[in-house]
Amino acid sequence: MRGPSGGAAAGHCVAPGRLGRGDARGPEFSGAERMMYGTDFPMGNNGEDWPVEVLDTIRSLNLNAADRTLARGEPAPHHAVVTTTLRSCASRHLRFPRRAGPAMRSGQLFEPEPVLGSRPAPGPAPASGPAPAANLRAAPDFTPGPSLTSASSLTPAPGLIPAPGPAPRTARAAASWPRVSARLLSARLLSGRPGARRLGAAAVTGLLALAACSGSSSTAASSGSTSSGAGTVKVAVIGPMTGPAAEIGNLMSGACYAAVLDVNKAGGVLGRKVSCALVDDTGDPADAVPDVTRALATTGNLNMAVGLESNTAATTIPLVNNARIPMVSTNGLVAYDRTRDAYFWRMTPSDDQNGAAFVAWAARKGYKRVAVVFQNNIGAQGNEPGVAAGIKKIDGTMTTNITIPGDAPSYSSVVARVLAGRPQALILAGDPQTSATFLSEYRTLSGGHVPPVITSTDSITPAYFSAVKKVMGGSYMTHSMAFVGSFVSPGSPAFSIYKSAVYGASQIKDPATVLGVGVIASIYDGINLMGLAMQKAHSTSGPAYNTDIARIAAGAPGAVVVDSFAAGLAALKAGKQIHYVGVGGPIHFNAFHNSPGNFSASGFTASGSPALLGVIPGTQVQQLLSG
Amino acid sequence: MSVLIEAVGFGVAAGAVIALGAVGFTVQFGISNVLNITYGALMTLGAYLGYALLAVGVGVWPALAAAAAGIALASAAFNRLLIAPLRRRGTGFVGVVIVTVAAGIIIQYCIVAVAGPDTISYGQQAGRTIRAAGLIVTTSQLIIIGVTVLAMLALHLLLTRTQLGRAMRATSANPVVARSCGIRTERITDVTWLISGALCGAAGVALAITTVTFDFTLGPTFLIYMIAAAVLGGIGQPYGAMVGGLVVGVGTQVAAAYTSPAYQDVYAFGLLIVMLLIRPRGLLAAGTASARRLAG
Repeated sequence: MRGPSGGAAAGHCVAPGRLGRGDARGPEFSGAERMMYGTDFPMGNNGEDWPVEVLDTIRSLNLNAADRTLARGEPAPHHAVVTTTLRSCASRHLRFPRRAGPAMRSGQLFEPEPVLGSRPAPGPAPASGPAPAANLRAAPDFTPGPSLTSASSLTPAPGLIPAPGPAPRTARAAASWPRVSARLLSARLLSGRPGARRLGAAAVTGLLALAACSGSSSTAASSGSTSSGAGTVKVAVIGPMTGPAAEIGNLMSGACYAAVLDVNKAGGVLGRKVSCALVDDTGDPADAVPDVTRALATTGNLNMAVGLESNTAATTIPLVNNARIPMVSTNGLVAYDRTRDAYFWRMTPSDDQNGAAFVAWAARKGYKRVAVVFQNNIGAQGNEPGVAAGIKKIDGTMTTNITIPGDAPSYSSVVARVLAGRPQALILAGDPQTSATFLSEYRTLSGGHVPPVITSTDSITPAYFSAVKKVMGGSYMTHSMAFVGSFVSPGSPAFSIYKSAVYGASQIKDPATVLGVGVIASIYDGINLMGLAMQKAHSTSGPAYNTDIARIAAGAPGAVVVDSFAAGLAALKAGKQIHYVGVGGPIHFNAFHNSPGNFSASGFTASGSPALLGVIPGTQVQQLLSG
Repeated sequence: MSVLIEAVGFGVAAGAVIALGAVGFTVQFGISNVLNITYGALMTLGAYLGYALLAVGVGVWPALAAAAAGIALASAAFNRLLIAPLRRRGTGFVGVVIVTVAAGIIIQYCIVAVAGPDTISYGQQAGRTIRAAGLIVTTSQLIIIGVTVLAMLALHLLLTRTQLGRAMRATSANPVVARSCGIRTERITDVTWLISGALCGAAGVALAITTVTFDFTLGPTFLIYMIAAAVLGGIGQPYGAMVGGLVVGVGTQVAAAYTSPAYQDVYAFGLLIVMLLIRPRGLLAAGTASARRLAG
C-alpha cells in the first residue's frame, strides 16, 4: 500500500521521532497537507495575525460576544461552545416568517448599535389625560347570554368556521438570506492568504454596507409620530414575525389587515389611507431594541402601534412611548397593570388575571386538585401568581407546581413528579413541541390516562393542534383541552363586522384562527379606537389624539354607541359624540389605561378550529385575585 | 430511593440518544480534526428522512436504518465536496468550523424550503411500557439503548480488531506518520465521515422518536448536549462519549426529579465543568492529537 504522495510503503515507516511536527516538511507533503494534519495553521489560534481590517469589520458587524470570541481565535476548547452558541443563535433566527413583511430582519446583523433616546423624551401625561374609570361615564355592563355561559358541549361557536388549511410555506426565507450569505462569505474570505484577506475584509465591509442599505431602503426617512400631513397613516405591528413565536406575529398582523380593510373602506382616517407596517421584534427582547428603534426612526407617518407582546414588551414599550406614539399592547405583564406610560393602552388581561381565569374554569368543571406545569418563558411564568391565588381562594390543591425548560429531550422525571400528585387537571403552558413531548410522556407513564388540560388561548393555533393531536389523538383534543383567555363576543354586531373583515382581508391565510384568539381582537379594536380618536382630534399626532382614545372608549353622556370604524366616522362627521363598543365588548379603561374585560374558554373542533366553551366574567376572576 | 432509581432509568434512556449522536461526533472529530457543527443539521435531515419514510409506510426501525445510511452518504459527500477541498486549499481550523456553521444553516434552509417550518411528529412510537426493579422504560427506549450499545461495541471492535480500525487510530494519533506509513488517510477520513454520518442519521431518528414532535431546529438544539457528552468523555473516545452521554442524560433527569426542572441543564453543564476541572481531557481521554488540541 502506498501513500497518495508516493510515501514509504507499509512496513517501512519513518520513525515518528524523525518525522514529528517540525519535520513534516519533506517534498512529499504540501503545505495544505501539513495544515490538514494539524502541523501548521495558516492563521494563528490567538488571532494575532488576523488583519486589522478583518477585526474592524467584525466589530462593525455588531456581532455578539460569542462571535467576537470566535473571531479572536480563542483556544480550541472554546470553539465548541462558541460555535455552538453561534449555531444556536443562527437557528433561533432561522425560524422563518409566516408572512413576508418589510424584511426588517435582513439588516439586523449589519446595523450599528441602536441610538436610544434619539426620540424626544417622554413628556408628562397630558393635562387632559385619560380620566380614571370612575370619572368616565359607565358603559352598559356586558352580560353574557345564557348560550355562552354554559356551553355544555363542544360545538363551533357562531361565526367560527373551520380553518381553510395551513398557511403556505413559501416566501419565508428571503428576509434572512442576506445574513446567511454574509456569514458564508465572511467565512470564505476571512480564511484566505493575508493579501487576499485584506481584500476580502474590504469586500465583506462593502457588501455588508450594501446589504444594510438595501435592508433599510424600504423604509422612509422620517418619523411620523408628530406628523399630521399627507400620506398613508401607518400602523406599526410590533411582534415576532420570525422565530419560535412567529405564529403570534402572524395573528397580530392578521388583525391589523382586517382593521385597515375596514378603515380604508370607510374612507380612511382624516381622508388618508391606513396601512400595516410589520416590525419584527423576533420575540427576543435584545433583538427587538434595534429593530423597533430602526422602524421608529425610518418609517414615515408611523402614527399608531399595536402588538408589543409579553416577551419583548419591557424593551419595546418604552421605545414607542418615548416616541409618543399611542399603542395598544397585547402583553400580559403584571408590571403594566399600574403603568404610567401615557401612550400605553391595553384591552386584554394581564398574565396573573389569566392565571386566575384558568382556576376559575377548573373550578367550574369541578377540578379541585390541579397540577401546574409552565414552560420557563415570561408569558407562562406570569400566570403563576394568579393560579396560586385562585387555587387558594377556591380551597383547591396545587398538587405540583413545576417550571420546565422548553424542547428538552425528555420530561420523564417531571411527569413522574406530576403523576405522584394524582391531579384531576393539568394547567399546562408551553410551546407546541414542549407540550406534545410532555403529554406524550405523561400518557406513556400513566398507562394511557391523561387528565384534562387547561391552557392559554395563545396556544389555540393550528401548530399546537397539529403537534399535540398526533400524540394525544383527536378525541383528547376535542374533549379534554380548554384554552382560556380574553373574551370576544361572537353574538355582537362588532364581531360580525370583525369576522367579515378577517375573511375579507386577502393577506389572512387562516381567518378561523385569527377569529378564535380573543387577544388578537383587541388589536382590531385598538386600531378602530385610535383611528376614531385621530378623526376626533383632527390630527394623526400621538400627543394630539392620545387623550381621545379614553374619551371614545368611555363615551360622553349622550354619545352614540358605535361598533365599527365606519359608524364612528359617520357619527363624528355628523358632529356627534361617540362611544365605541368593540369585539371584546365595552371598554373600561382604568387610570392605568387597562381594560381587562371578560374571559372565555375555547376548545378545538375535530378539524382544529376554535370553538367557544364558555365565558368567565371578569368580576369572578377579580374575586379570585382579591385578598 | 425509588425516585432516584426511576430518574436514573429515565436518564439512561435520554442519555442513550445523546450518546448515539455523541459517539459519531467524537469519532469524526477525533480522526478528521474537523469540529463539524453541520452535524446538528445533518441530524435534523436524518429525522426528516425518517419522517418521509414513515409517511410512505416504512416502519420506524427500518426508517432509522435507512436514515443512517442516507446521512452516512450525505456526510461523506459533505466531506468530499466541501471540507476536503477547503483543507487542501489551506483553510484553517477556524475557517472550516465557520464553513460547517454556514453549511448547517444552508441545510436547515433547504429542509424548511422542502418540509416547511411546522412541527411534525412520527406519532406515538414509544411502544409498550415496561416496569421492572423500579425502572420504567418503553420498548422504543430499550431498542435505542440497544442500538447505542451495539454501535459502541461495533466501533470498539472496528477500532481494535481490524486493519481499518488500526489505520483509523493511526490517522487519529498522528496523520503525518500514518501517511508516511502508507496509510491512505483520505480514505480513512472518508470512512470516518461515513461512520459518523450513519450514527448522526440514527441519532436524528432516535431523537425524533424520543421527543415525539420536532421541527427543523431539532439537531442544533441537541447538538450542545452531544458536544458536552463528547467533551466530557474525552474527544476522540467513543466509550468516553457514551459515558458522557449517560452522565448528561442521568444528570438532567436526576436534577429534574429533585430540583426545579427549569434548571436541569444548569446542573448537567455545571457537572460538566466540574468534571473537566478534575479531568481536563475528559473522563476517558487518551493522547490523540485532537484530544491534546482540545484540552489545550
